[in-house]
Amino acid sequence: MKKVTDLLVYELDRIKYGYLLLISLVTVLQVAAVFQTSRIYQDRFLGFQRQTQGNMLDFLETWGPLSYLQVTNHPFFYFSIFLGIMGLVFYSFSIWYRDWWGKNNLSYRLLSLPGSRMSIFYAKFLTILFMIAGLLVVQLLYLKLGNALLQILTPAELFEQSSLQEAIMFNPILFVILPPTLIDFTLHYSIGIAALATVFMMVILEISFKLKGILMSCLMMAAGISILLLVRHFEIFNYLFPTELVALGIGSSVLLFLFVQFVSRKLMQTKITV
Amino acid sequence: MKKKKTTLSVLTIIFLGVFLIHYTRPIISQEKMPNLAWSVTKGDAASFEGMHLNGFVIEEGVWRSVIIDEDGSTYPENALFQSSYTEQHPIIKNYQQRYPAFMRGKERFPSNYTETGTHLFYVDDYYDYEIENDSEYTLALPVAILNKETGEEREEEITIQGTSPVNFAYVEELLATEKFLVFEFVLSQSDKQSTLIYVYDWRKSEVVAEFVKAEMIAGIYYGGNLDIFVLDEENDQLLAIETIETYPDDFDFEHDFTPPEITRTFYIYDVQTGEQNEIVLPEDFNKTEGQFYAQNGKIYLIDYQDDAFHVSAYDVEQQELIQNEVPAGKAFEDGGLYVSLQSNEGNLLLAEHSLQNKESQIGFLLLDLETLSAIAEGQIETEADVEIYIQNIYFE
Repeated sequence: MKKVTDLLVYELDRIKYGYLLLISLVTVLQVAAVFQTSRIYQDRFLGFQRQTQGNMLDFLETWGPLSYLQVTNHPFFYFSIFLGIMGLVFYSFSIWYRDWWGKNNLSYRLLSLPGSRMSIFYAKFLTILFMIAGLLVVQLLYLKLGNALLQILTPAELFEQSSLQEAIMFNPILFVILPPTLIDFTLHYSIGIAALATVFMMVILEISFKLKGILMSCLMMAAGISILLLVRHFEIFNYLFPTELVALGIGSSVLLFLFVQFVSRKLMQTKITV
Repeated sequence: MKKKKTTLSVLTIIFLGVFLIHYTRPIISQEKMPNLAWSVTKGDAASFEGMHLNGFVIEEGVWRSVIIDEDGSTYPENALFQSSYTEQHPIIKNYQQRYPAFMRGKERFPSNYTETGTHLFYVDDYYDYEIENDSEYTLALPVAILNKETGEEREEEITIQGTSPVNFAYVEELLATEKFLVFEFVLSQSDKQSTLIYVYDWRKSEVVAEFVKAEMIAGIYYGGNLDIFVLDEENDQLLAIETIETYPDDFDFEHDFTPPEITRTFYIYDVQTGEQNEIVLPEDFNKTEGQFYAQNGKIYLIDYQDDAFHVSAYDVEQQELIQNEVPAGKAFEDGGLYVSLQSNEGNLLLAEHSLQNKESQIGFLLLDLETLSAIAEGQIETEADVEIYIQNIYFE
């Protein structure tokens, strides 16, 4: 446990500037989305007044009030989330390869440390999870603050309050990364955690077996996809109720995670090389 | 290192705290969900014994399924285990809870199901987009019938004969009595789309009547509005009501909201002989407003106006008309926006289906179809600022 914590602190320390830069970019983009959305809406209102000589009520009847839901539809907003996701996906691979491909001997030193080698795996794994959690907390905060900022920028008669739930339900990406209910969160992130662990396992396979490792990873993925296609073909899911399907999703993810853990442990202990 | 570990610990606690607050708020708020119950405002409460109203409650944009019965309200979904992926129509959820084995492997659209006091019926849809070049095409619509008392399930098929290759057929409406299953379905063929009504004697497993409600050929719509009722189950008689709406030639459909001229034609269809005879009903039955019902050889028209239900009953054999005005309680004063008619042990339940705010109520009334008078009346009201929508009512 101590080794995991020490390595976790070490990993987070290494990436802290990159992570803070990522959060800054997300912040800038989301604030820009609020300003842009408000400006476009108010420009539309002024244009409407000029062209039709209509009043605010006429405008609201045609265009509706402005709410934070429209900000979540802005390209900047989508891009900020996309940036966060891509940044973490990229780092999920580079967290390993920066040690194994670097000109330093860090990988050798890591493997030589006393204690279980799986500590390296868990430390890197928890680093990614910590970064995901951080981005999610920041996003939740921005949903509240962004709504407040939009309210400040927009005339009261043209503004409509929207709840956090509505914002999440309205935006498909927010629905995936910040699910509305605890069970949805458990489902999405159990799948995500299993997927992350699988990616780590594939990286370790490649590091251990090189080209053969890549082929093994491809075969495993093909096997997994085939199982899903077979299940779909025989319409097995049609016989399950939605609650059972959710339970199956969570259960399968847990099983996959345990399997991947087992394989990764074997590889880390006996196969991985520098 | 120690300082960094402390920072990490603090951040972890903050993250966990934020998630905990964000996801436990709905769980805490469910404890505040209103307890809804009905009260009987007139007549004997025993008249509504076993009645369950199944629907959902909306509070601050959050939807929750609810079942209201004489003991109060139950929210079947615990907020802790609520999920967007388990959202279904309340009727389907209700059937899955009551008859889980029957519901497995079946479509989850309410229009595919109907129930009586003793049986639950299911008619499946049909989809086949790989059309073969045959001149005729036969499809089989699967039917499942569950005996609620014994748990016995029966599966059969209704054969539909098309005149050209069929793309799909889906059920729009189902109605069941203790003898007949009346279902309206859309049949899409390569050259036309038809809305058909089949009457199926489910005890004998045979189709006893077929009606064409409407057809669309080359983009042109043919047909009026046809409704089929089981008029007399004992004597195998069906009632067909064809409604034709006529608009003036220069009618502006986009801006003119004047109601059309209504012409209704009533037919009695004898299942045994296949004969169809037109009958003439009193002028009241040609009114625009009102809902029809048929039972034991009588045709009923129920219309809500001026705080009362105006009930007309026409005995087809005796050619007698009885009318009565049944005062509706305060609960119906929002106009009876949508009132469903449902048979219960030979009587008719009239029930509203929605409540938009704490100032309104959901009213229901049990009507004696012999005397055309109210047996009992009740309402649901709430002090909470919620909306309630009832999706189905069943007796159990």
